[in-house]
Amino acid sequence: MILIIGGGIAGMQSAIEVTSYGLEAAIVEKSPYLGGNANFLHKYFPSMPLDCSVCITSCIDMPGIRKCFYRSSIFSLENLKIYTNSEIKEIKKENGKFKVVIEKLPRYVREDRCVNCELCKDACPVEVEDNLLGKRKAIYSYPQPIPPVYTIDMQACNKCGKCKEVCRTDAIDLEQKPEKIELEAEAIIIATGFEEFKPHDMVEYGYGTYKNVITQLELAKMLKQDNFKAEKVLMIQCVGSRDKRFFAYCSKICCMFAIKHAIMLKEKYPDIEIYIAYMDIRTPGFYEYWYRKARELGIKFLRSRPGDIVENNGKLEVYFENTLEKKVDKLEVDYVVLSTALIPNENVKRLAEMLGLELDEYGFILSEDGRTNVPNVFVAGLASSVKDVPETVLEAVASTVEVIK
Amino acid sequence: MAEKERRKDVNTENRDMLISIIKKLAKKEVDKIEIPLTFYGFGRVKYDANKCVACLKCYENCPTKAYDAVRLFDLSTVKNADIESLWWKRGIIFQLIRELAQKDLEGYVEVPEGLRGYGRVEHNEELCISCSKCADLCPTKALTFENEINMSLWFKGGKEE
Amino acid sequence: MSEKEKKKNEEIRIGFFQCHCGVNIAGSVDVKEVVEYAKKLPNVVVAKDHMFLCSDPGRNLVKEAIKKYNLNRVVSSHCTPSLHQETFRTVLKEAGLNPFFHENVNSREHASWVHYRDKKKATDKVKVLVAGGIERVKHHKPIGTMRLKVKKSVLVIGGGPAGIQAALDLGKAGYKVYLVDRRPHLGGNMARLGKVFPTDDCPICILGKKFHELRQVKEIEVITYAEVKELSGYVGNYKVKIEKKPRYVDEEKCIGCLTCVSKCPVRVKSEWYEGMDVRPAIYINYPAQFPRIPVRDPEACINCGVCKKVCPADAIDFDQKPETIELEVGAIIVATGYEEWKPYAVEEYGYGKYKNVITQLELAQMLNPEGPTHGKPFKPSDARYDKKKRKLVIEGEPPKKYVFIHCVGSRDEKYFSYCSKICCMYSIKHAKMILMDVDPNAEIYLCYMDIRAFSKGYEEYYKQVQKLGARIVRGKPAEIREDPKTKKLYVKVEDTLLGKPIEIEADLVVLASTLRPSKGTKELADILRITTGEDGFLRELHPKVGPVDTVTAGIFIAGAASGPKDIPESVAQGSAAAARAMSLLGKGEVEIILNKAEVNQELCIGCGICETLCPYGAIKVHETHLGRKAKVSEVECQGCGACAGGCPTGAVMRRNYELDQMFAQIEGILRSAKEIFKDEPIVLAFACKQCAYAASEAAGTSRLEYPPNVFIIRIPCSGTIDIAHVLKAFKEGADVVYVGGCEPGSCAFVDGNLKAEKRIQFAKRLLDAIGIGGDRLEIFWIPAPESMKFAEVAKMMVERAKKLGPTPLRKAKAVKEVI
Repeated sequence: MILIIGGGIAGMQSAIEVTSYGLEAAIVEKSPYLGGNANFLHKYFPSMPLDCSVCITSCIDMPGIRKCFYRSSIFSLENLKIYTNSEIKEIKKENGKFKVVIEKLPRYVREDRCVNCELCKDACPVEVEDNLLGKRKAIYSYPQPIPPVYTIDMQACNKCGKCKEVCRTDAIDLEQKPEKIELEAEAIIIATGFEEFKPHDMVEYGYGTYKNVITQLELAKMLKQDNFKAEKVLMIQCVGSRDKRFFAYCSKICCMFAIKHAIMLKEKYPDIEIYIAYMDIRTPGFYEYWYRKARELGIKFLRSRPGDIVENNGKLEVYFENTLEKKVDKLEVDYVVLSTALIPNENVKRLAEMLGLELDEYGFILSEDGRTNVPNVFVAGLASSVKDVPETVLEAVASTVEVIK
Repeated sequence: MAEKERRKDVNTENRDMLISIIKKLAKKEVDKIEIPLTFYGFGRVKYDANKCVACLKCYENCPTKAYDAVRLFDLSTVKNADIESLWWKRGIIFQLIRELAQKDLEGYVEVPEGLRGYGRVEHNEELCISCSKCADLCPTKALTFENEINMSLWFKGGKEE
Repeated sequence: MSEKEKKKNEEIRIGFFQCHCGVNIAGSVDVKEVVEYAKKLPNVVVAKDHMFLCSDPGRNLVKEAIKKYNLNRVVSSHCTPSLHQETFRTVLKEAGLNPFFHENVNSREHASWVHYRDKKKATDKVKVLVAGGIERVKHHKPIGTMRLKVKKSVLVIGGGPAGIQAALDLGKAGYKVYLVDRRPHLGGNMARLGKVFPTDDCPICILGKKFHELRQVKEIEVITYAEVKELSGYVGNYKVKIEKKPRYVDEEKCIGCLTCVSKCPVRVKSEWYEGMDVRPAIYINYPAQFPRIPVRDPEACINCGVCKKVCPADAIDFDQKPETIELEVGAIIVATGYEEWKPYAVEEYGYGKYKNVITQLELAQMLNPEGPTHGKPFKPSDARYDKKKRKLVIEGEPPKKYVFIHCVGSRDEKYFSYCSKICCMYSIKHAKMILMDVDPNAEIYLCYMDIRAFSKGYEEYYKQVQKLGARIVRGKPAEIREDPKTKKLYVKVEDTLLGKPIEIEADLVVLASTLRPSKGTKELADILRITTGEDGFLRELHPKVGPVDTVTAGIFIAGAASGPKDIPESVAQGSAAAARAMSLLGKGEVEIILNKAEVNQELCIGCGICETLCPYGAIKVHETHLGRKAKVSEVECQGCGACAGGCPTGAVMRRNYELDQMFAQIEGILRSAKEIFKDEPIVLAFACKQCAYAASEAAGTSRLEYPPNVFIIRIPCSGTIDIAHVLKAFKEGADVVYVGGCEPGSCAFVDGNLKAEKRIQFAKRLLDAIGIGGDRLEIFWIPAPESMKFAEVAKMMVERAKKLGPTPLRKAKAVKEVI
């Protein structure tokens, strides 16, 4: 039995690979649905045309079928158990095996009964804001969710019971309690992924103060909900990364991330003006085509690091030194999008303590070919360093070789 | 020149010599003569466009490139065809075209490059060395080999002395 | 109808089941009315509805009905086939029927979700689709499966870091591995370097360790100096022909003492050291090479026979001949790597003209401790071959001033527009090596466009080199000039950060040239039936979903063969490819469902058109006792149906999409549509399930409305489309017909969409010629995520149908009916 912590792309790919050798596996994911950060992304590079994130998260394992749709066979893999809405409480090592205690938080909907028919959603009277779905009801699910069931957001729910009335499979259980599950695992794969650095400390950019200063991941969510409107946008690269004050490493994928968003915006609104302020554009290998496409579309690249942002009449005034023309310029824009550093997930620390893992100075797990310093504990995806989706998939596949050994 | 170019891969020296000898020996200009069956190297190809499915096997395999692919589909083949004797799907398609047609079935339809199954081939007798490969390969027997020689072709330039 | 057929028809007993899907379908479709309608259709024995057909009670309902009414065909109407067709096929299987006696009608994505404002129209549309499904299922035939044994052996082509990693992973897991390299030894380009970033390890030490492991694992057989010549067979059972070049040294006998090498009197330029050093006629490339067996160059050899005399093992054999080895393997991993482009074409830098302009790989060789000068860089203008000492002699001062130019040929529209990915890092590495190991006072200028130091630890590495004193100039040099006397070079560059042109004096200019796929990659790709991209590198199936897979099942790629990669990435790809091969071969057999092409031997005339259409070489014409007949290799066939669409006689059929089945569906839909949608235009669409059909599903999920008189038939690939389908549709009363396929370049079956385009082009001209009008037929590219485009196309085609009016055929019939 192999325990996979994290149900993002790395975790799902690892699960598929491991189970394809006939091994038992379990995924533990803290949010109610699998997909991880991929759920928040609208579209992916580097395939042209861009793939939608739903295709990737739901049908990752069907080689030969490029444009797939609908939920994945990951849910029907016989030797894979999926624990969503669950957290690792304890890991102990006994006789070369890991004793793991998981707490499964209540979903208030019985997974074995719900058929994802949407009746409850239509009946629910409570509406709340969600950072992924925009407006949603207190009972909700994701597009093409895995597992394909609804979830009740208890913080929003007013316990009116309307969903229970309309449910025809009697799946709603408002009295559900947290559940403790004990597992015994022979190996652990850590695939906890990344978080975006929130640059509240960088006073010069006024993130958190000005409403229209946002991060790339926030822009991705807005693009997904299709509520982003602007005439002039400035993207600032390397915010927090390649910066001794915060994180000295390069976050690798933000250049592509920003270019992708710029191209998506430009293709949708041809009149929009987009500026990207950068230090070096890092589009290695065939990604160079994207950089070229962006320039062809008229996206402007400024080699500069903006010094200050001031809000004025609802517009943002950005002051920067144009290093190519050697002068200080001012730019008035509607939105400033910060490409911030990608940092390890906060849960890594806790896991590292429990398992005795070595971390590097930034909090990434130290690893070699997917192996960590603890025997039988492996790492896949962004938990060990920043990677793009292809590399994540690749690493997940590759680390399987180590695991099955 | 173009003809020579097309034939450059095939050694036809002996054959040309033989023909020139025959031409010299001939007492008079002959139109055609019959020859025995399986007399390889001589004989005449007959092409029935109605049977042809434009698979282009002859065009591709002819050693002297004596065939040209004509990317035109003759509608009159649909009109004249005997549906019963056609291959199953081809019969269905021809029948459908007849039923759909609002005009007299005449004229040609251009066939896009690379689409096989429609169109025809043209046989250039002057390049032909009568190897019978095409007739052998032709899946629909649209190309047949007749046991006669078209002598008039040899005497086109007049009788040699 | 003959007696026999009648009897057969009577035996068909169809069960129809309609799902409510909660309110998803029942909310905008009158489910009861549909059920009543279905009941009246011929051969329908039972028609029922259920709240959730896919739930356990729903599935049981179907199962019980099959038993109770002795059904032999099932039509279920619910969501899209991509979602639950398999579910109901399984139900049929459990009930003892062949799973392919099932047909799925899409009444959710194609009706209730897209026509939710008009309940009557939505219901009408479902009725039409049901009629089509019921008509179709009558012609369904059982389709079986086959099990295929696979060989537990793998061929790895290329012995660089990626290939070695793949071989080791597989060998240690107990698979038989053949590791083949074109060179006389393993190691690839990695063995030519002095150090590797970012850890500054010595590559020979890493490789040495790997070679040692290779010797230990007895499952691995290393075949060097050999090339792949031929491939046949299919996934799990490939047959490969390999040609082994003569080494003129018996590999069994040679003990690796290298006496022959030291005694050989000949010296010629060494290819391994880019012509900077010399080698004997019998030689090895580097001391630690594996296998440590010399190779004789017959062109350089003067046949003096000294080597033969000195060899203690009698291993030298001048009469060796090329040898052909035949292997049987289950999978193949291609790891053929890269080579450096020689930038002669970039005239402004004078490579090839000025001796002291070299490439980074050449500098790497100079810095290599095992290289010609044991790690000391030199000016090639100072190098001379000393005939007496029979070795390279350097006269003059070592270089002091270096200029490194990044992106030579790459990121340049004139040559190669992609970025070579690793040149920034190895240029930085070489700067570090010079400053740390050779000369701390050296002046090094790096002229760059963008510094791409992106992976873990790379940025820090870049910072270190800046600290060591390397000077960074942002700008692309315009020109290099040489002083013919002193051989000094002058590099003209505009420093874009200073904003002015400068001229840098240099002893050595080093060009970071483009990385290209290694020679022969294209030829190998053709042999293996895999694809290359426009840049010449091998193409992976999908950068995310299948980074090491290819279009051919059982063939994987790893390393720089699919694009420039650094060593860690190449090694990871090697492991990934090994993992993919293991999961394919691990079970010992694969099960294949035979919903693929089939040949009717009676109808086949052996014309070979199908052969030209198949992108996989899965259908071939063979000589049989009945004459030439096409034969399908069912394991190689991917089921796209391109062959069936082009067959002139109808002998080749894609199972489950056979002509009579398609005709029945077209007839069923249109007959019922003419009845129900009397005066309205009728539009029939054929949609490829990879893209246009998926887009129609997405349109459903997003509730995008389009007119209800568009009826969609699902086909496996747009290449399945046959001119007969289109003509039949017009004959049965369609006003407008269109086909939806994937965008060019993204067809899941290589180029089925382009084959379809040609057929449609021809059919358009044909329709023009016979007076129906070519405007009534179109083909569109509708990618899967573009649901908006799908809805727009549907709207547009209905508008067109309105504008053009009913076809002359339909008009004539209507007049007849009135009379």
